Formats: sequence, structure tokens, C-alpha cells
Amino acid sequence: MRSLYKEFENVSAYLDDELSSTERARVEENLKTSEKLKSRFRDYRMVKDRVSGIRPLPEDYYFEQRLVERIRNNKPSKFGFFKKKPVIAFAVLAIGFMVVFKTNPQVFTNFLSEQKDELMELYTDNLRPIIFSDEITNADIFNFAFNKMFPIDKEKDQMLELSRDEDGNQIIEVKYASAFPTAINLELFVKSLNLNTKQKVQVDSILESYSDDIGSSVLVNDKSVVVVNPQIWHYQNALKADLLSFAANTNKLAAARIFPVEIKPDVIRNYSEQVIRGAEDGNKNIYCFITPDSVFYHGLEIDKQKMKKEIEEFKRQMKVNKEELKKLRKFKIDVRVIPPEYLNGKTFKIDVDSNRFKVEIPDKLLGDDFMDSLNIVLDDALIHLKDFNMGLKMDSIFKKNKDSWKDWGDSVRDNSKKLKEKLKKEGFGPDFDAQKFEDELRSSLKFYFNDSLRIELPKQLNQEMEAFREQMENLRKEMDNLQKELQKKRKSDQPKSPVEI
Amino acid sequence: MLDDDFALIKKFNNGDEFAFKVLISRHREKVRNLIYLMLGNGEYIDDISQNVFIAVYRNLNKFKFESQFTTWLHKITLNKCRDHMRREKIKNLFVGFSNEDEDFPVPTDIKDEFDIQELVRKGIGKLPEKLRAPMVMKDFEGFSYQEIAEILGTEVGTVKSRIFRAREGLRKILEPYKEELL
Repeated sequence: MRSLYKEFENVSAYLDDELSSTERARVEENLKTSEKLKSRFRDYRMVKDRVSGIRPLPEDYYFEQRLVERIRNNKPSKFGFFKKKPVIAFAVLAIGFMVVFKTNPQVFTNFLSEQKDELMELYTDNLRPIIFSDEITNADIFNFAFNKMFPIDKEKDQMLELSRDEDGNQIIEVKYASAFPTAINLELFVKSLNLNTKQKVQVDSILESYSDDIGSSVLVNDKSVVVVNPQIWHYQNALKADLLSFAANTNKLAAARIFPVEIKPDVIRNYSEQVIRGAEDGNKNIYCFITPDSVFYHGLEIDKQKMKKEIEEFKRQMKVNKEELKKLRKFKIDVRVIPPEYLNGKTFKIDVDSNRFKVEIPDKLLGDDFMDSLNIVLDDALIHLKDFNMGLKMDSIFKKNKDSWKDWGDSVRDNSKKLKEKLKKEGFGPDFDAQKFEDELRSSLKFYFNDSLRIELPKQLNQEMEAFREQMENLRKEMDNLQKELQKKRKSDQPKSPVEI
Repeated sequence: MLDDDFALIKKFNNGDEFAFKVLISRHREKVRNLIYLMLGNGEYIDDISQNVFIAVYRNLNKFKFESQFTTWLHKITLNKCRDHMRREKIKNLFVGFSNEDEDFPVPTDIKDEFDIQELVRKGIGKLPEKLRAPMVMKDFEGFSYQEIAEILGTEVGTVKSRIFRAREGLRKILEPYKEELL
């Protein structure tokens, strides 16, 4: 394989006339005998011809003129010593500024304010809720509640992720979704709870009741600006709480598993009400601007009622005719920029790489103590929900093998003792650690059952593997038979010991 | 040609601005086409090619006459292309929300509107940058492996391997259209 690869490489270099005479002669010799090489030679020649045959760009006759003009405009200062001694230039400028600002302190403030206004105009121009830019579905809203991810460009697979670090700081990230698989989705949620049609409608209505608030908390525009209202954290938690309490109320078995003993679904429900109140009362006009040039907070006043009406209309039109979507995308919301005196001097921690743009918000804008305890409860419940889902799947496996598992209606978690006894009976010995076995089984199955991480072998590969397994089995049988025959033959060939008379 | 370039550079370094104009007119199309094939679109050709020649203008007095002028020029061009691609990559992290006021052409299926030139150009665009550059310089610009190695600051063997891998990659990309291409 390696030598064939080398041969192909030499064929490519042969085309470029870049081989030594010995190599050249060898390639020519090989080309006479090998069809594969001949075929590659033809292909590479075709590729080379096509690349060299690309039409050049039409000549740009005015290029020099524009360039010379640009160079002339950007020519460095004739004051040579400024160029050579930038420190002197800076010092002179600094002294000049100091004099100006000392005599007229308003100049600087006014200048900054003007610049800021201009920038804000640019950033807020044509801002619209994300719900207008991409078709946000209930599945997306659900995904946001549990996986904290929200699509900002489905075509490019770009997501906005909201999270908290270990110290509770809020983090906003713009990143590619494919690199970060999600853990639970709406389909899995419905399946796990075994919801009927009516209950599915109820889930949809919960999601829809939040979609406007969530969808309008993220604004975007044509200047690649993403604006996030930190109140979105409130909505996310409230939605999560509502969905979890719905899950617990709908399926009692699920409730027992999802929520720890001391936490009741109605307590969670109360939390969600508090959270919503927090969203209504909090700094609802403060937005975090993430732009290609900078990250900052600013106040924005948005007519939410008007916006909600527009969103309703948008959704109605979308149902009727998707083409209308395009027209409605031109929708502009009225925003008024509020001077954020109390936000001055705040700094952001920013982390950028090719897959993400991460902003750590310096302090908690929401500032609600109860949010932390709520987060702990919700996160705990979410872990149980995932676990519960896995339990259900494992149950279905055990139920399939009716003969050996017919008494096993519940999940493995509740049957550790039974499992231990059964495995002992099966001959795993007195030192067998059933708990360890259970954990290993769980972790191995978890990978399989987690839908977003699920790896399915292609059907064809499965068939090939099965055929290969059968072949190996036949070969093993043949070898066994052969061995037996050989043993028989050896026995028959052994010289018989002389009979003593 | 080699001496001419050197002579022009010397003239420019002695204050003859016209010599620089001659240098530009001699090499501008090569630079523009290299940028076009490296970036895969025509949107930034003018900006980048102007930046290339501005860099040449500002650094020509540092040119050491140890290599050909074209080698040096292509090195600058590739660096400017890489800078641009890096910036675009970071910029693309943010959503390129479509501007409704601009009427962008809707991309059509390549099979529907068969344009071999476009097909090959798009195929080149799909190759990794480190394979694309040597293949374009060899097949489109006609540089030798040695010259490409100098431009890229690498070994001749690496150039040979990269050109082979680029051709192999492009061959696979163009495989479905083989009949039309032959």
C-alpha cells in the first residue's frame, strides 16, 4: 500500500518533470505494466490540465492608479524624527491633549459620547429578535432549557450557549454546535415519559408560552452583532422548572425517580413563578452586546408589547406561507439606547478560538440568591431525568429476554440485590462485585442510550460483520473437526505394543 | 526577466517611483490570480492585492537580492491571504446574518448549471490551504518544486508530496464529473 502510494506520488511528480533520470525511467517502466498507474497518470494529467486551464481574471488596468493613490494618501509623515522616535511624537501629542483637556474638560467627554452614539447606532441598526432570523422550533426551545444552547444560525450550525462557571459567573458563548453534542432532546423527553398525544400538546403549549420571551431576548442584525438580554437566564430556569414539574405530575413513576425525596414538583413550580417575577422585576433593559469588535453592556428600551404582536403575526404568516418570512425579516424594532452609567468600568473576560467566542460576564446582573439553590435543584433533577431515561431503556432490554428476566419489571437501580443474587446463581462466584458490575453496565449502556452520542454502525457494515462472524464460526468448527480427525489418525497410526504371550 | 526585476528594484531604491509602477504592472495579474484561487472568491482580491503591493513598496529597500523577486512577492501574497483567512475564520464565528437589502445571487446546484471552470475552481477551494497553495503555484503559475519550496519555506520533498495529495484530493472531488471533464 505504502509503495503504491509512493508510486502515485512519483507519477504526479513525473507529470511535472520533477524526477531524476533514474526515477523517471522507473516510472515509465511501471506505467507500461500497471493499469492502476496508467489510470492515475490520466487522472492527474486531467487535473493538472484543468487547473492550468483556469481562465485568469480580467486584467485590472486601473490597479496601479488606485494603488499609487492609496500609497500617496498613506505616506508616512515627512517629519522623520517622529517616525524614528515615536516616543517623542506620543509625548508631544499627550502634552497637547493634556493642555486641551485641562482648559476645556468637556471636549473629551463630548467626543467620546459622540463616538459612542455613532457606534451604538451602527450596532443597534436593524436589530431584530432571533425568532425573525431563523425558524425557532419547540425542539430548539426545549434544547435551550435543558442543554442551554440556542441556534443563532442553523445553516452554519452556530449556537449561543448560556452557562455558569464553578464560581457562578454567567458565561455567554457563540460556537459551533457540531463540536458540542447535546445530552437530551424533546423527542427523548416525550419517549421517556411515554406521553400520549394530549400530553404532547401540553408540552408544546408550555414551550410555546416561553418561545416569545426567549426568542426576543436574543437580538441579531446584519452587522454580525448578537445582543443578549441576561434575563434569558430567568426564562431558561423557569422553563426547565415547568418542564420538570410537568414530567413529575404526568408520570408518578418518573416523579419518584426524577426528584429527590425532599423536593416536590409543586415546590419547583413555585420556583418557576419566582423566576418569572425576577425576569419581570430585574434589570430588564440591560443587554449584553457581542460584536466582532467588542463586548459591552448597554441599556436598550424595547416596546415588548409591540414586538410580541409582531412575533405573533410573524408566526401566523409562517404557518400560512413561508415565503412571507422573507418579507417579515425586514421588520425593524424600535430601540432606544439608555446611558448605562452604572455599568461603566466593567470588564469582560473573553476567550476566542476557531470554534468559540466565549464571554465571561464580570458580575451577576441577575443578583438573585435563590437562583443558585434553584440551579442546584434543577440540575439534580435533570441528572435524575437522564438516569430515569436510561433506566427505562434498560428495562425494555430486560423485558425482551422474558425467560431470564421475566420478574424484572423495574430498573436495575432498584434491583441491585436481585441482580446480585441472580448473578451469583449464574456462577459469578462469592467475590463477584455486583455493584461494580452494575456501574460498568450502566456506563457502557449510557453511551449507547444517549441519543446525541449514539453510534450506529451502517447496515451494510453490520451485515458484513455478521457474515464475517459466521465465516469465523465455520472455520472454528472445521478446525475442531480437523483436530479430532488428526487425533484419531494419530491414535490409529501408533504402533501397537507387542502382545505378550 | 530576473535581471529586469532586480534592476527595477535598484532604480526604485534610488528614488525612481516609475520603476515601481513597472514592477506592479509586470506582476499584478499573477498576484491577483493567486489570491483569487487561494480565497475561492473575488470579493477581497482588490483589497488584498493592494495590501501586498503596499507591503512591497514599504519593504523593497530591505530586499536582499538573494532570491527571485517573484519568490519574495509570492511569499508576501500567501501571508496576506493567510492573514485574511484567519480573520475571516474568527469573523465567521459570529453569524453572517444575511443582509436582506442586498440581492445576493442564490447558489445553484453545480450539476444543473455545468461550468467546468467554476467546478474546478470550487474543487480547489475545498482543498486544505497547505495543499492548495503548492498546487496552484505549480499548475497555474508554473513554478518549479524548488521555487515553491523557497516560497513556502519547506523542503522539496514536502512540496512533491503536497502537490500529489492536492491532485489526489481534487481527483476525488471531480470524480462524479469525470466524463464531462475528459
